[in-house]
Order: sequence, then structure tokens, then C-alpha cells
Amino acid sequence: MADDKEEMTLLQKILENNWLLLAIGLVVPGLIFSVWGTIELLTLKSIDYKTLFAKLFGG
Amino acid sequence: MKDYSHQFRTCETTGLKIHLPAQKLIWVNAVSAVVFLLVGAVMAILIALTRWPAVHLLPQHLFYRFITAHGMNMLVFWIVFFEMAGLIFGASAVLKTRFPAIKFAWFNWILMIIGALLVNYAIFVQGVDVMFTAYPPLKGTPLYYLGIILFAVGALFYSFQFFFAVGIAKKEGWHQGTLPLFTFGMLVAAIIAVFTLLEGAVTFVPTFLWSVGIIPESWMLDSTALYRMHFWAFGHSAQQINLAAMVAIWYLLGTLTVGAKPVNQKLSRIAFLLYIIAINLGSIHHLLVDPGLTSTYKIVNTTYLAFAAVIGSLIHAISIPAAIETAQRKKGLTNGLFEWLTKGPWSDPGWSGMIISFVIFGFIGGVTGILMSTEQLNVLHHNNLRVPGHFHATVVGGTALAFMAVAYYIIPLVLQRKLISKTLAKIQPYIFGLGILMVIMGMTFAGLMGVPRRHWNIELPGIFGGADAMLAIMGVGAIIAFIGLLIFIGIAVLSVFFGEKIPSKMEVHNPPFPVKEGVSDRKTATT
Amino acid sequence: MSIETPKNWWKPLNKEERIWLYIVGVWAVILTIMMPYGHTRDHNISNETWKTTTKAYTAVSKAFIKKYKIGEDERGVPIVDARNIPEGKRGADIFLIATRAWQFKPHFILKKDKKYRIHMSSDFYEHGFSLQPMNLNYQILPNRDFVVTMTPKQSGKFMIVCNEYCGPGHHNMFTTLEVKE
Repeated sequence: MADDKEEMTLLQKILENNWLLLAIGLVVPGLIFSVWGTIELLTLKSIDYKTLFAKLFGG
Repeated sequence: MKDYSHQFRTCETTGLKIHLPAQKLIWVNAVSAVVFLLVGAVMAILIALTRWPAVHLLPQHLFYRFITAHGMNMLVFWIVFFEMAGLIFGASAVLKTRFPAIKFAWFNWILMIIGALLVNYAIFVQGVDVMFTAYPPLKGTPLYYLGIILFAVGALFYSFQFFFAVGIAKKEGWHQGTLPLFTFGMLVAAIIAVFTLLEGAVTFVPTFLWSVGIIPESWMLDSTALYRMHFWAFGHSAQQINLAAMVAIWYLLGTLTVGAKPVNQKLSRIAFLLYIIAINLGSIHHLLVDPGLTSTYKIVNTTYLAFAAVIGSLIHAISIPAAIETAQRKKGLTNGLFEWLTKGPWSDPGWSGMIISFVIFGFIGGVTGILMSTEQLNVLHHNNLRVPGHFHATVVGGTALAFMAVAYYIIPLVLQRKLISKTLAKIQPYIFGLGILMVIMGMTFAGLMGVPRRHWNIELPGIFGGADAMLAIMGVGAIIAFIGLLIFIGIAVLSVFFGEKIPSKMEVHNPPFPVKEGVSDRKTATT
Repeated sequence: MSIETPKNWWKPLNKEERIWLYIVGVWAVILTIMMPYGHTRDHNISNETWKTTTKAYTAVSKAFIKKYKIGEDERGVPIVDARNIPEGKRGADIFLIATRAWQFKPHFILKKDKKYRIHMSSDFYEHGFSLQPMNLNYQILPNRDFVVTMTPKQSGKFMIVCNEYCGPGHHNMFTTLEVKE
């Protein structure tokens, strides 16, 4: 059965391309988990207790 | 020096061609896995008997140290060495191809062994007790982090070798067409492994540099949240490697035990694709009650992208039993709804191990995992014993038991040794399954009562009295599971070294030319 | 037996597979909606985190304890009466610190049905905030102020236990929270 000319759907082509699968497996979690998470953690705002809670420090 | 590089042998049972140098590599990685399984098992029984309040075996400093040893040896060394054996098997025997770069493969094994030995040295001799999570500013010794890095580098190189080997199989013409589903599953495991290990580098290289004083403590103290995020990108993704490998092994065991074939390859492969896309996102469930991350980020990631990866698991949950049921019904076992299951080969440890691990992983492990990954519910679960209850269902009752089940086939089929005791092998999955179920239930219900994990003495706060019964169930279950583990280790080690050798015909093969059909220069020689 | 995949493996799904996929799809949609929906109800974890320094947090915790302290326990851990502290727009701010010497400071006395903003931070290790017996658990990190808004609905004696491994003093780390009318 040398039916090499049959049409492969796009999804089937993706599933047969190992390097593309590796790229998807690195880029998708890399962006949605690692990069997004790192950005959130690095952009936290600081708090100033002396101003906000002056009454505590004032005595 | 005889050149074995093109020597193969044919397995009479499966028809697979095993490349002899690859077989040696499978042997050494599988044996290494079982050695570290033994270390982890001894640690397991000691810490379980400490958490059982009536026994309270270990003093506190050893308790925390041995939890660290248990975590590293089980979660990392036992499981990853076994997975390396699986990668080599999937890329060579299953594709009937030679495994390329044999010397490089041995180098990687040496890296991993040195890494594992360094970590164990750091724990047992240097006294490192920072736990598998090693959250800064808890500080281990430099050798501890160096060991982890070396192990991870070896495993990463092995993963790249797997891709290379699959490519060689196609290029040199050994294997044509679509990858068999088992190898495709191992490919998914390898892809997840690359993400895991790259994140491991991001996590452990700075931590190592901090442990030797190059990175200042103040930076580390300000980056604990970052460490946690990247650690779990490594740590939980490592468990997803286990999941992909375990699912691949379930399909393989279905074939080996009852001749099952996947009902719909398209469906199973799409399920694996969902893993590739979304499964590493779920690591965020370790950080749901952490400061610093927004709910939007947490929800998108903890649902594995609107449950995309969970849908993948649920597809496998129907496909694997469907394949088994179809094969069994073809044999005539069509009486009633479940004769295909009840009349399965229950004295075959490959079958019983597969079914028990499927049930424990799916119904208990997977379900409790999804529950705990809910943003709001996690407040009730974070850091109490429900968490180990969950992961002993997924990793131990699920992955480890599935690995043991397939080992009962690897030993005779790949390593050419008869099992030394079919009777003991027959009962082992049941003993281990029962024991680990009790451990899981004990831990889960103790956790529901609020008992913290990684805690040497819950009597001190004076509020957890009702949990003593649950911890006792856990302790008794641990003894039973430990016996089950020892039986497996005993069978595996004794069979591999002293079991009756199963002879096999040796052949020499050169790579066929890929393009022309019907042309090959295979020579067959009997040795 | 063959492990090989047949050549044209791209086949349509059968009836059982389709039914299963519909069930699974509906389940996934429902569960995905549930978490954002939960945010319209009360059972949410906090999204309020501030960057701070261990020095600044230790100072504000000390000031808070000094202002509202009414005594000490036998280990020298201060007891703070926070029943009548001023309530801002979003609640009354109270400060919990987890110390390097493996202690939670202070013991709290709170008023029932009063809205509190519990600030939690550590001066070195990571710790766990585990409120028992209601089993509410949060993570405490150094250099980060995690603010959790809680309203006590029952009176009685409760306990905060550390459930994140933090060293040899880990299992000795707990403090009390008493809620009075």
C-alpha cells in the first residue's frame, strides 16, 4: 500500500513533526507560565509603613 | 576488540529488534533506578514510622534529613533513571533501530550517577536537610546543588539523544512511517523533560552560586517567590514527565498483556498534544496561596489552560480501557458488562500492576489533584498532609507501580533474564497496592484534619489529637507497602543478576538505505 | 504482535468517544468558570501583596506590638489585644511576623465580626500560616507583606501553626488567636 500521496490534515502534520512539537512544548509554557509569572513577581509595588501607619510609630 | 555497534538480537515474543549496546544502556539505567528505589524505600519506612505518633521512631534532625533523602531518591533518582531506560528502549527497540552515540550515552549515565551520589553524600554525610524543595534561605551545601545540576544535565543530554535517535531511525531507514504510540508517548515525556530541566538550570544555578557565596544572600532573600515559581516549573513538570511515561507504559502493557491496540490513534495522539501544550502550566498549583501573583495568572495556569491537559488525561482514561476491552471482547469475553475485565490475566503482574496503578492514579490521584488545584479550595489544602496523600497516589500508586509492572516484562524481554519467582511477582502488585492505598488514605484524612506536612511532632500544639488514628493507618500501610517494595526490588535485582538467562539469536545489521523500497543489505549471522 | 501504527491512522471518532468528549468538554467549561465565579463570592485568597524589607516589616511589627500589647506568655511572646483598634475603609490592620528564631509574634485577641487585614511576613525563612481548626493556609515569605482580609465569625480559641518546613524549630512554631465578643 504505497499511498504516500494521501492528504494529511494540518493537525496530523503537526503531530508528525517532532521539532515543532518540541518548540510548542517549550514556548507555550515558557510564555504563559515562566515569563508571565516572572513579570508579575518583578513588578510588585512597595509599601511605606511610616506614612500609611504613622499613628503606630507616632506613639 | 569486538565491534558490537551493529549487533542486534530479535525478541521472539514481540518481534522487536534490540540493539545490543542499547540493551546494555537500558540495563545500567534500570539497575541504577532500582538501587535508588531501595534507598528511598528505607527512608520511607523510617519517616512513616516517625509520623505515626505511637511509634515516633526518628529523632528530629534525622527525620527532616531523611525526608530530604526520601524525596530526592524517589522523586528524582529512581524515577528519572527508569525513564532514561524507557527513552532508550522507545528510541531503539521499539523502532528496531540502532541507538546512536553510545559513548555519549555512557557519559550521560556517569554524569547522572555522580550527581545522585553527590546529593546523597550531601544529605547523609554533610547533613543537608533542606527537603526536595530546598526553599531559600534554607541553605544546602554546594555539593548538594552541584549534584542536582550534574544529574539534570545528564538527563537533559539523554533527552536530546532521544530526539537524535528518533531522527536517525528515520534518516537511516530503520523505521518508516509514524512513530508507534509508545515511542510517541516517550517523545512527549522527552519534550516535557527539556522544559523541566531548562527550568531546573534557571532554579539551581543561581542557588548553587549563592551557596558558594557568589550571589549575595540579600538577593536570594528578595527572590524567594521567584525561586518558588521556577523551582515548581522544574519540580512539577518533572512529575508530568512521569505522567506521560506512565501513560505510554499503560498502552504498552495493554499490548503486552492482552494484545490491546489503541482504538483511535488520532484521539490518543491529540491527547498527548494537549499535554505538550498545557501540562506544564499546572505547576502553579503549588503557589496558589502565595503572595505576589494575581488571581488571573493563577487561574489561567492552574486550570492547565481551561483544563486542556486534563481533557488529555480524560481521553487516555477512556482510550486505554477501550483498547483493552476491545481486545478482550475479540477473544470472546463478551459475557455481561465486565467479563472482559474480570477474566483478565490477574496472575500476570504486568496486568494487575497496570490496572491497580490506573485506578489509584485516575480515581484518587488525579481527582484529588484537580480539587487541590482550585484556587479557592487550595486554602484548605496547602502544606498539610493532604498534599503527600495526593502525590503518593499519583507518583507512587500510579507511576511507580506502572514502572514496576512494565519491569516484569523488561527483565525477561529486554534484559534476557527469567523472573526468579513468578509466585512472588504475582502477589507483589496487590501487596504494594494495598499498602500504598492505606498510606494515601491515612495521609489524606489526617490532612483534612489540618495536620501539617513535614512536621516532626504534631502533639506539641496539642490540637491534632483526632488525627492519631489516621496516622496509624498511614504507618501500618507504610509497613505493607515497604514489604511490597522489597519484594519487587528483590525479584528485580536477583532476576537481573542470578535469573536464568534467556538465549537469543544475535544478528548484525547495517542501516538500510532509506529511499528505495525492497533494497537492504541485512546480513544474518547466528552466534 | 505488532506495536507499529497502521499507515492511515487518521480516523474519525466513534460514538462512545464523541459522547465522552462532549461530557468532558462540558465539565471543563463548568470548572473553568467556577474559579472566576468564586471571586464574586467570599471564598477568595488575597491578591494583595506588597514588596517590603525585613527591616521595615520588623519595625512596623514592633511598633504595632508596642502599641497594643497587654502582656506576655511564659515564653516571652507578646499578647496583643486588637479588639478596638481603628478600622480603616478596608478593615483593621494587624501585623503577624514569623521570626528567624522560629516564633510567631504576637498572640492575638480579636473581636468577633470585625473585619481585619492580617499582614503576614517573615524576617528570614519561609513559613506557613495555618489557622486551625478551620484549616486555612497561606504562605509567608520574607520581604513580602501578604495581606489577607478575614472576619472572625465564631468566638473561641484558635491556633496558628507553621506548616512550611523552616529548620529545627519548625515543629515548635505556633501561636494563638482568641476571638471574643
